[in-house]
Amino acid sequence: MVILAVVLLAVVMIGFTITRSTGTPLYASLGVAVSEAIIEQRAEEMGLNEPIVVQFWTYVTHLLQGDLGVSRISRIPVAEDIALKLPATAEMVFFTLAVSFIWAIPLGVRAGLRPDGKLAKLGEGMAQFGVSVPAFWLGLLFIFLLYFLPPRLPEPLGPLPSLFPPPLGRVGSGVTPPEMVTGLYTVDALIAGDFRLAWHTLWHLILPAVTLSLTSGPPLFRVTRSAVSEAVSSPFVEAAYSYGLGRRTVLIRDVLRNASPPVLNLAAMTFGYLIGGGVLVEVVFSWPGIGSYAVWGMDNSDYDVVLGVVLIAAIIYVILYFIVDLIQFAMDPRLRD
Amino acid sequence: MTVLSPQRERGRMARVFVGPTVGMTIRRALFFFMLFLAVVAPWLDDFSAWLPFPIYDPLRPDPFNPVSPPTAEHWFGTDTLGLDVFTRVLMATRVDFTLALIGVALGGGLGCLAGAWAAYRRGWVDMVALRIVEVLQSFPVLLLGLAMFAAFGSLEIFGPVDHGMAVLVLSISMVNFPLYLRQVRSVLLPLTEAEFVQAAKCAGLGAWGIVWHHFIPNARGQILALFPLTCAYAIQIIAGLSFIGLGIEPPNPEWGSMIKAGATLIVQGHWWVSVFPGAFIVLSVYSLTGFSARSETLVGPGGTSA
Amino acid sequence: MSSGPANGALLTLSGVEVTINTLSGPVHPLQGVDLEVYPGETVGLVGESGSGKSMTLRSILRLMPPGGAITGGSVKWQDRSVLDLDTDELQAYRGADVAMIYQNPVSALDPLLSVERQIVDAFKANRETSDGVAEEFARDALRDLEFGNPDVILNRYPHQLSGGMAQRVNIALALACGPSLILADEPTTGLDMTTQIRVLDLLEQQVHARNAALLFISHDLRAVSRVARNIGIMYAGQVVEFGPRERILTDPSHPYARALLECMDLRTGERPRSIPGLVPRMTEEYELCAFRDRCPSRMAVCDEERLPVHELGRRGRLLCHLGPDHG
Ligand SMILES: Nc1ncnc2c1ncn2[C@@H]1O[C@H](COP(=O)(O)OP(=O)(O)O)[C@@H](O)[C@H]1O
Ligand SMILES: [Mg+2]
Repeated sequence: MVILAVVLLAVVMIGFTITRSTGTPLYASLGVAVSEAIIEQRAEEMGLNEPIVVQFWTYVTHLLQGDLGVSRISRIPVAEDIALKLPATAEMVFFTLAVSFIWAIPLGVRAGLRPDGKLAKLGEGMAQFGVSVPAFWLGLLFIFLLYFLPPRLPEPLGPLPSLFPPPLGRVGSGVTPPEMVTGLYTVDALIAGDFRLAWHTLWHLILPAVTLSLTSGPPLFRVTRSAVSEAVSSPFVEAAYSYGLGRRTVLIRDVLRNASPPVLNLAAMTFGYLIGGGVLVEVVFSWPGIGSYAVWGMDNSDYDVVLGVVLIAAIIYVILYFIVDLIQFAMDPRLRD
Repeated sequence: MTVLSPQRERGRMARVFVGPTVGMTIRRALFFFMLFLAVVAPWLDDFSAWLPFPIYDPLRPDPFNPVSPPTAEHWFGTDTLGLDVFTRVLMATRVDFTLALIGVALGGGLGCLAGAWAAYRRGWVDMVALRIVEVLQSFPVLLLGLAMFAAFGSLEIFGPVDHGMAVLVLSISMVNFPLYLRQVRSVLLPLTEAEFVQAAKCAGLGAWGIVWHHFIPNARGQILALFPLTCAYAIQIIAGLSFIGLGIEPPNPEWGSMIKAGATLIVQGHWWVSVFPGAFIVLSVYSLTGFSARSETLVGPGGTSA
Repeated sequence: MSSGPANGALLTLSGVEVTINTLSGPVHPLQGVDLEVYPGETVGLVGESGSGKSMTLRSILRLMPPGGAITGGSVKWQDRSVLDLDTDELQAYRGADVAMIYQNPVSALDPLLSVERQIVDAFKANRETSDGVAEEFARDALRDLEFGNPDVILNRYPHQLSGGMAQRVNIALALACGPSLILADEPTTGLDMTTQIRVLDLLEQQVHARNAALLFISHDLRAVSRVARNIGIMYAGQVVEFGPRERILTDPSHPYARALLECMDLRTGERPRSIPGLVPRMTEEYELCAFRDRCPSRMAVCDEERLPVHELGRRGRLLCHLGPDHG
């Protein structure tokens, strides 16, 4: 808890220092070609002549009220924009983890149980590939392949949205997003009972999720593998067999249970990391999340936008760190004493 | 002090080239080949007569031959300006390798010193160091880079040094600083109580003397193991930031900005402008990991999702 | 049933060999182990650390480490060959027929599961029953093992137990399976002296109360002689001498058994004498006697011929060129 507070405070201080040291608050809102007097007057208005401590206090209290400044381009408060775009990023990251749970974790378990097996080699190959390949480039390759490589995928649920153009953005052009409930389009479409729309939004999620999963999954694979292989070779697993417990029971009751804390830990950290770490993939797939938003801010020298995103991403990361601790605590009786 | 015999020197050199497995040796050879290309890239033009591949000026457009697919004249094709992708990919190797190296060396070097210092002093120094590490590592890497560019955006403080490159290098340093700090600290922490350190203290060797003469050599193995991996990681970050237009300005050759230049072409089927620079990133990262015996990815969750 | 024991033995090992393939080459921890255990009796097995005691127990349960396999000999449970059991039969055999108590009591318990859960699972794995009955059993078993407050212990996790407590929980786990034979792998080695005696007595008492047989293993001849009626001496992956406790403790035939006895008898000296020479490396497959390099009675024949097997009465065996009747 203390660590959480320290990290958050430090993050905020860095953010503060960056905004002040660059002089952005003034120029950002006025442009450069203004007279001294106006600058002076604005500085007074914005409280820039106050002592630095007072400024910092103001900054923090504003932050605590959710005020991250106003975008100089759109004139919309940064916090509002982020609230609008965060669900897009969150949905992408959720699906990324879902895809990783489909390949990285089962392969990791298998590789931990049978280190010399074919699946272990496949997993290590995929991990090696995933760490070597830049996600944004892989995303581009996928787009290219979808464009130019027939045959098209089958259509399980009615006519599939055309593969031409490939699925960029959260929905195709001309498709109305579902009514906002959670902000996650797939979920909202299901809530609205529109299965075609749900399928459509899911289709748009697949490419970014697969791309991010291939590149962020390797650590999950490797940690799962080593956690499982450590668990299987522990004495209590042999003991469990000796009591006449079956393979399945031992696998679930002892091996997977003991291997899961580090894996869950890393999964949560990966989630937190990808909230801000998926920037490039968002850009490649025109995904309107906070990453694209930050890049947009950067392109327009709209630094409050950039810093807002950076702060939010760091805060989410730190909060997840804390949640992970809680999960570990719940799972491992040794930590409870 | 024993003097190393030439025999042993040669043994050490060989160990750099020859890995524990055939696969790793091949990867290392690939790396040295790329390194060689990076070093000689600027002079290739002078020897074009002897080269099996045609080489061009990486910055001179050819308006009569834009977006040419790979041909015998242009092995990797040309981009919208008619620039030869092959030449530019080779030149970019030089840029990416150099920036990665400087960034890692700077951040890593400072990280090593800080880690050793934290391990030596322990107590509150160690506390502060760890908090700094935690703070730095709670930023997703690319966002940290973005924040750096935001922070230095309007400052012209690097004098003659290219602004974008300087901020790139700083960003890489910021990422590597905590990695090395952590690693070195964890290796050295158990050593602070070791006899030889106590002996050195008694002998009146100062704190920095101990750090320099006893700590750094002891952590050398770990540092060397980390180095190629962090360089590979740095290459991905540099390319990633350039991909969103930060750092290296076009038309200067750099893999990430070349991929960006090709991104709009790829949907028209002109794949070569993006694919070749990306393939070189993959090759360089893959070849660099051939130096690390550990197959672990060092860099936290989502390590390389740059 | 060709060579099946008509003599009523519960467990018969004959010529059991184990090979483990490791990165640095094959290891042969068992090189022909012969052993019988009869219903209700207590057999002890003594040997230096590394002589293959634990591996013998593991081969009885067919639990091999990665890369390990039983490469020769036979393991018979009554008249069934354990090595021919299929997966389901093996699972039924483990626990219900033979259960094991491990050397390191804390690490043999799953750190994430409560004591109650572990006992209940072991109990239910070996019979059709309800949770209630299993919990009742767990409580009773802990009471039998002299836990003052079983309900408190049932809700504890392994890390909250002392070594002695953890070992008693392990005993309860083995008992929960309801086996006819309990294998105990140095169950008291990690414990302090007074706890050792207490745990040993409890183990013996509980095993006898349930009419089970006990195969007790230790590197400590004293601990073995406290509980076992028949004792085997292990050396380099073989049981080199086997016989009734009285004979093994007073007049063993094998030079190695004598040396062991001398080490033990030196209660007056400050520290026990050790047998000169090196413990054999199990990377080798011994064609001849593995002890001959350390043997004070080495003869020419020891370097030339394979070891003969001398049967000494109904329950006695010796693997040595000296034979049973030498000086
Ligand atoms: N998993 C393993 N891999 C390789 N060698 C092993 C393994 N387990 C045991 N051994 C070897 O087998 C021999 C017998 O081991 P063990 O049965 O544990 O001896 P004891 O229980 O008598 O101390 C030893 O030499 C040991 O080195
Ligand atoms: Mg043992």
